[in-house]
Formats: sequence, C-alpha cells, structure tokens
Amino acid sequence: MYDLALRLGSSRSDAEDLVQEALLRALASFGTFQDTGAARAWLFTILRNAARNRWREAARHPSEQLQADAPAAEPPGEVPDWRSFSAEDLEALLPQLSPAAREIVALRDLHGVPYKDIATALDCPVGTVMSRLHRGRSELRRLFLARAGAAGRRSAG
Amino acid sequence: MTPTCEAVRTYLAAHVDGEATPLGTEAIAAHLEGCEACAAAAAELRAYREAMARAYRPVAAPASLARFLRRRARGSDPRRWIAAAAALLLLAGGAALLLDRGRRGGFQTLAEVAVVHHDAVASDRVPLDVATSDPAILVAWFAGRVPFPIRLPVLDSPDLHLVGGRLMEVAGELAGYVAYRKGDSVVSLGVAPAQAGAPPRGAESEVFGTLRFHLSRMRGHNVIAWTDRGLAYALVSDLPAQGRSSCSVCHAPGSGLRGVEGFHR
Repeated sequence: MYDLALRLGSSRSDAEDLVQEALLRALASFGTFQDTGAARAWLFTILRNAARNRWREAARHPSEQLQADAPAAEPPGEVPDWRSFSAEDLEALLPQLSPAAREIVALRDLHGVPYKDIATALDCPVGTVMSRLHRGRSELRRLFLARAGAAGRRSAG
Repeated sequence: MTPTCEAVRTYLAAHVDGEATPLGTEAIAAHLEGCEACAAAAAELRAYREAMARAYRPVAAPASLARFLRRRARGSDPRRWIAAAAALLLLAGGAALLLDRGRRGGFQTLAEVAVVHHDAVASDRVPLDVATSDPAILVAWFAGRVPFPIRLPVLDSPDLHLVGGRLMEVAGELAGYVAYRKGDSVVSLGVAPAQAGAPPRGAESEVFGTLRFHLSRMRGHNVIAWTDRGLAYALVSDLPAQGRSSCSVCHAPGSGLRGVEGFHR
C-alpha cells in the first residue's frame, strides 16, 4: 500500500500520511465489508483519490493532461528489447508516465491487481480498464524505446 | 473456426494477463498457433510482463508506519484490529504481519509457514505478490528476492493451474510461496532451502523413486513435505492425503505424469 502510494506520485512523507489516513478510515468503518475484494478496491480508491487531491493542490501540470489524451502512436515494426529492461529503467520511466498511465501500470503490472478490482477502484467498466491499460503500457513502451535508443546512441558515439 | 485477428488483439493482453475473456482461452491459443503476427504480439506482451516482474522492487513501508499501526492496535477492539491487519496485508503486498509472527518464533518449519499462508491466500485475506500462470515469470520474479534459486517441481497435471506467488519467511529467511488452483480449491507450495524442511511431527512417510515424502495433517489441511536437490517443498491442500492416494491426486491416470505405481518399488 505504501509502495502504491509512492507509485501514484506521492513523496515519501505524503505516502506515509496517505496510508495512515486510508487505514484510519478503514478502521472507522470496518465490519461493513464482508468481501475482502471490495475492501481492497475501496482502499485503493481512498489512496488514489487522496493522491489526486495532492496533485491538484500542487502546481498544475498542463502537459500531463495533454500526454494522457494523446493517441498511443506506436512506431510500426519497432519492438523494444524487454530482456534489457532493468530496475533503473523502471524507476526512471515510471515518473515520466502520465498520471493515468502510471496509475494503471502500477495497479496491474507492479501490484498484480485483477482487472475487476481495478475496475472497482477506478469506478469504470472492465473494458475501460483494458483500453487504459493498453494506452498506459504503450506509453511506457514508447518511453523505453526512446531511452534504449538514446543509450544506444551514447554508447555508439 | 478461430476468432479474427482483430478480436484476438482486443483481448490479447487480458489473455496474457491470465484474465478470462469472452473469446475463451482455447480459441485464442488456437488462433496464436496459426497466426504469426498475433503470436509475436503475445510474445512481446509476455516479455513485457516478465521484464516488469523482474525490474519491480517494492519499496518497504517505513518503520514509523509500522509503529503507527502497533499504536493503533493497542487498546482497540481486536476484531477491528484483525480487519485492519488484513487490510494492511492485502495492500502491503506481502510484508509485515504473518512474517512478524514467524520471527517471534511461532512458525519455524516450511510446512508450518506454508499452511498459514495457504489459509490466508485461500480465504483471500492476503494477495499474491505476483499473479501469473507462467512458471518462467514466477521463477524470474523470485530470483533476487529469495536468497536461493527456486526450482518449481513439475506439477503440470492438466487441471492444476499456476496462479502466482508471494514471499514468506521461514526461520528468519525469505522463502517462496506458490499458489495453484485445482477446480475451486487452492493448492499451495512452499519452497525453501533444504534445512527449513524438517518433516512435520507425526508425519507418515512414503518413498517415491529417490524421494521421501512426508504426509501429515496440519490445521485441517493435508501437507506433503519433501526435499529434492537442496530444496525443501511443502505442498498444502484439502485434497485427500492418505499414503498413495494423495499422490494419485496429481499422478492420476491420464494426468500426463508418471503413474503412482511407477514410483513405488
């Protein structure tokens, strides 16, 4: 949960506050959840909303919105060498993703949350989870291709 | 007739992610066998998943957060505390509490720890750290997280499906927990270095070929423990475990595995 808060773009101290806040609210209303899947989705939702509020309070980044809405143009034929994808690549690229992409990639690909739980957390149909995930992964793929290309040029030059 | 490329591409990521799709697993698999372009796309998705599983290093929650939780735990309704602990476990992706119990000396052997994790996973109280049906992805995920190379035993009976894994702690060392699904029930496998695999007390033992299997019941579950080439394994399930009959659960005729009788001398 702490990890997820960080991935959603919080600073370390913010992440800690967010997790505390989410757990306190959970403590206050637990007992109403019979289904742990629903509880999990609900806790993600708290984290996510809290993280979003913090972004709003912080300076707005208009470029992020543009990025999020940009069509996922994929250069045809170019396939990244995922075998060379390292922990450093992940740490460098994740913060560069648009908030929407970062959120869905963190939930699915880092935390392994099933589509239906993501759909509950994001309050959208599973079909939307699939298309957002596609866009998010495409964004990451594009950034990785650019980073690998730049690294290749550096080592060649 | 296999579905069209367009239909397959729509659901390919979900298929690779192990999610159910309206096209069905078999129809997609059949299409991939005959379509090079879609097969290449599926291969890239798998490579992507494997890369993410390998590259991801979870950030541990700071000690101050653990202190906060302990403070909250004191003096509050224990039922609420248990619920909050379950919530934390759900979201912490593995970390603290069960393991903490292990550190305090509650659970020392692989079989004991595997049974506790089996209960927690089967009742959906803790999530898997990694969800995958691909053994290669799981082994890659464990590499670098546990201090020994994990080898999964060959358990590929047609109705036993790999679901994923998580970390657990046995006698102070990190070990692997692997979840399978057989029909509606969870089958769990603990993997640790051989020294953690002391057979449960009162275990009945069976020799299969070169391996000795210890069969016992713990917390209402059937446990089969064995060691093989430096690794200890504990298989936890609610499937029958009485001598040879437990083995024939997976090694049934038609399972594709060697028959039970083939092991017995």
